[in-house]
Amino acid sequence: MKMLSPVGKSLIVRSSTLVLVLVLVLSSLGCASVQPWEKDTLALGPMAVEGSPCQAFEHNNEVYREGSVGANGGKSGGGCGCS
Amino acid sequence: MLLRRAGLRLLLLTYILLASTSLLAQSAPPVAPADPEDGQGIDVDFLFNYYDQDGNRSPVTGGIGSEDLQVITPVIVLKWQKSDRWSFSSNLGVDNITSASTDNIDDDVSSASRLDNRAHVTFAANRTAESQRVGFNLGFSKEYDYSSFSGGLSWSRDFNQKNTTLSASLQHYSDTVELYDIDGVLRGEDDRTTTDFSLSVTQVLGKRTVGTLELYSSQQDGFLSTPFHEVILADGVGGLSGERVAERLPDTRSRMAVGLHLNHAFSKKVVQRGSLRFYDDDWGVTSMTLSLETHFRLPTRLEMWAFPILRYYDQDESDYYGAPRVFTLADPFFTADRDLGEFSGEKFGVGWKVNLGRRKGGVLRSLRSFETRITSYSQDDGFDALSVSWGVGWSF
Repeated sequence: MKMLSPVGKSLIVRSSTLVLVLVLVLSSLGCASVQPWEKDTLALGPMAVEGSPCQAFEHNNEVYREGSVGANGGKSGGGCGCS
Repeated sequence: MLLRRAGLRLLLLTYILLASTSLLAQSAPPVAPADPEDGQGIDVDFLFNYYDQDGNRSPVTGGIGSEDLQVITPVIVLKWQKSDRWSFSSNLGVDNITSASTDNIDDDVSSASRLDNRAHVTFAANRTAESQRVGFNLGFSKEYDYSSFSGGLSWSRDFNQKNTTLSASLQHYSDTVELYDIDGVLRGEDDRTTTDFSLSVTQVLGKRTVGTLELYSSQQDGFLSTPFHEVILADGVGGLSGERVAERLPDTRSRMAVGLHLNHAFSKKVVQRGSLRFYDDDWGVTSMTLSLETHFRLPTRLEMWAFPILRYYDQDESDYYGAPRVFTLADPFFTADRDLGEFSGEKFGVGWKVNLGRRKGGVLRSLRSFETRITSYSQDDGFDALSVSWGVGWSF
């Protein structure tokens, strides 16, 4: 049983890509002018670029159970018996 | 299906509830300013994960058996900030695995009454100089049939008043596999190497937005099959219908991935974390991953965040994957490992994190952070998993 049809999957991929690219483009309009004293919001805990240590467990489980690795800020492809 | 609908409704309700409490939290104090001694001293983190999965396509029994498995993993992480320039860290953990499927291989691995263990340790040192950071790490892990040595280098540099950071890392693994075959007989050992390269640029995109573009490349060489994974043959050349043989996979694999991570603060009480990843390798596997977490600041005196977790994963199958009774011995490569098959997966969960900042004092006063995450993962091939994680951190 499929959770989503191919059309649904394609729609999710395209719409999420579009949203992320749009946010990126719109946000980049002021990207060069943020001064150190203006970064209090960027210093909030959830704004950290790296994920939390607990999230690393989930990355690890996903590397074992899925065929892909990398570019997730977490576990890479070696050091375990998984393929 | 009913459970999934109930889960979605619960998640939606959680979203609405958290959004409401966050918007009502007008009296919540602002985030505490950085401690002047931030970054100094020793950090100790205790982490714990419980993982439980089940499915009915285990490659250990030819793609038709139970995948029931539980893993309990405690980890301790130590970080010593020796000076402004040098920091050292160490990470020690043990995976305690109970598995129904691997019990079918031989007597040395887990069953309901016996455990398989994987121990892993890493050591890292980092040096900061002006706007640059360099680091190296060494690691070792050992499982009953597997040992791995690793080493890596990393570098990063800030530009543009720390609004842009360029990072690169290189990691190499040298692994040895003991070849337990599908009958549980040890047939010697073989080697496997993995070299990962990652390049990323992190850009502050505004006062409330930061994004990272990450490129990842990996090259694996050596024995890449799992020797106790079975394939059930079809009628054909050199084999009997229903005969069970070990999987055959190529001895090289090149993998590429691109990840885009974007964090945006709608306000100081609502932060959206999102990432999108595309993956491709020369075994024919392609995939897409979308992850979203919306962090809501709770109206409490302490800095406390709650967040729903969503992840969608979609994968196309490898050229070498097939259901039971598809391949014959005339095929050069074949596997029944569902990890290399076609599927999509959804992860739902919730998380809660408390940041207390770095404070000096006794064990209680030195508590820096607490986090818990609970996620449920299900694939459209019947595979389900649950992950529960806790993390507690102290700063001394």
